[in-house]
Amino acid sequence: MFGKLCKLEMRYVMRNFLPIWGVVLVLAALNGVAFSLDLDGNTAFGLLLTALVGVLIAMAVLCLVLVVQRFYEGLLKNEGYLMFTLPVKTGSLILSKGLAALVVMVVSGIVGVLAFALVAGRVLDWSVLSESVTYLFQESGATAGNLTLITLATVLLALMVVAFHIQMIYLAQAIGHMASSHRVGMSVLAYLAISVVLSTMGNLLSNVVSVLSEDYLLDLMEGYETLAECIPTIAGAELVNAALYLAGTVLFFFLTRYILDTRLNLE
Amino acid sequence: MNELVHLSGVTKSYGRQAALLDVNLDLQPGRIVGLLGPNGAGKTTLIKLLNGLLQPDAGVVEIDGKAPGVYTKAIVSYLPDRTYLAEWMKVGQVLDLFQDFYADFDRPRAEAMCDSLHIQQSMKIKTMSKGTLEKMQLVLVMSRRARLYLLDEPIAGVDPAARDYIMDTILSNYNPEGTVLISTHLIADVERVLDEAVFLREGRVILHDTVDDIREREGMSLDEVFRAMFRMI
Repeated sequence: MFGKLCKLEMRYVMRNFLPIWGVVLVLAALNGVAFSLDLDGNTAFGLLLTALVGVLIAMAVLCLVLVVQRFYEGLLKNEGYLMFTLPVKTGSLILSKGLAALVVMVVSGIVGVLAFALVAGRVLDWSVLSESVTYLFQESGATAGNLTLITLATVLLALMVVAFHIQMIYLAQAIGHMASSHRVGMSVLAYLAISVVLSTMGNLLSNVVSVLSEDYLLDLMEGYETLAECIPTIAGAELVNAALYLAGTVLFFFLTRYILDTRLNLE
Repeated sequence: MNELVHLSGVTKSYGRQAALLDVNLDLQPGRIVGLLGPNGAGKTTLIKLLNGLLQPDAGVVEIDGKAPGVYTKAIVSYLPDRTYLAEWMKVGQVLDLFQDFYADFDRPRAEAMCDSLHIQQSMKIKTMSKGTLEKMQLVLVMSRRARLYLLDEPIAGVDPAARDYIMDTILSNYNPEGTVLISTHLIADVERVLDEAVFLREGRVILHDTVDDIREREGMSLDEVFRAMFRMI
């Protein structure tokens, strides 16, 4: 049943985001061509660049709207009458929406990077860039294993941060849903309150656990001769942070599920 | 103890406004039951509690011996008093959805009913008129071989011809071994099909009996009993 819920969610998000991703990539390719033809100052070039920036901003905004709207419209408004009468667990409903949102965020990020590559690819001298990167890694003494480790840790941390914020938005909406009126306003207030609590907790934690401190990595790098030496430590710090974000995501998920299981009130 | 529906001491309030007060109700399988009362009597609240869309403040709600949950949702077919289909979906996708999630969904029956209403599977929910959408939802709900049908105001706000279509659709498609609970304040239109009637007033069950017994005891039709009971002073 969970797979079927995911299929339903993905059908909705793909229907909305496939055209946007397509438009971003086409505009990026056109901008790349315009760059390579050296059309600086041309009105069409200006329009193309403005359109690309506009679509990229729209894509980012729509990602955020998707997270909020699919939970609000899909579970707490009229569609909720269908979704909550399907023979599935509440956790599956929340998780399917969260996963779909995560996929959209990740793919949108990849599309953004691809768009940059399409534009910059026409301008940059890739051989120089490649040589510079190779030189940097040779100088730092980084190995393939080191690079794989830091890349995986960074990707994992990024995924956990996104998942955490998606679940935080869901929890804020679930808390807002408990109010008898002004539920949207209460959701916003709940989001702000959670943010304040998290910020306070983060400060307290970073005083106790040095690895969470903002200055930790800077202090750390000063103690090493080469970048490669501190890669495992940086990756370790990222993994600790990823684990904390995962714990927060799980906590928010269970709180959201508890509220919807015990305090659901579709009026 | 073979009640399909069991409510005991159920109370539900919205803020300070009480919607249901100490409701006790048992319904047996294989019955068509009218949940009757004026607007604001608590009919929709009671149906939502049975669906798990609301949680009671106090009391026990059970369907086939279980609290509303995954099991009960698999045997309950619910027609809400509003549109609950996503506007972006097409009719065919909605049929897929019901087929995916409800093991008791009879797709050929649903398709045949859609055909008779000239609803094509390629049609978007967004483009449907309110009347067609209501019929579409009725088709989905009545195409299930459910053990409990919860129909919230299925004939409210539609013309007499549509009411006849809706009542005929319910009668010719429901699972005879299941129970149908129809909430309405339009008694005359449903009286002919009801086995039992539950009268709600201000959140309390004030009468629950078979329709035949009510008629015999009161010496008048159910509609007349309703009018007498809820006459505005």
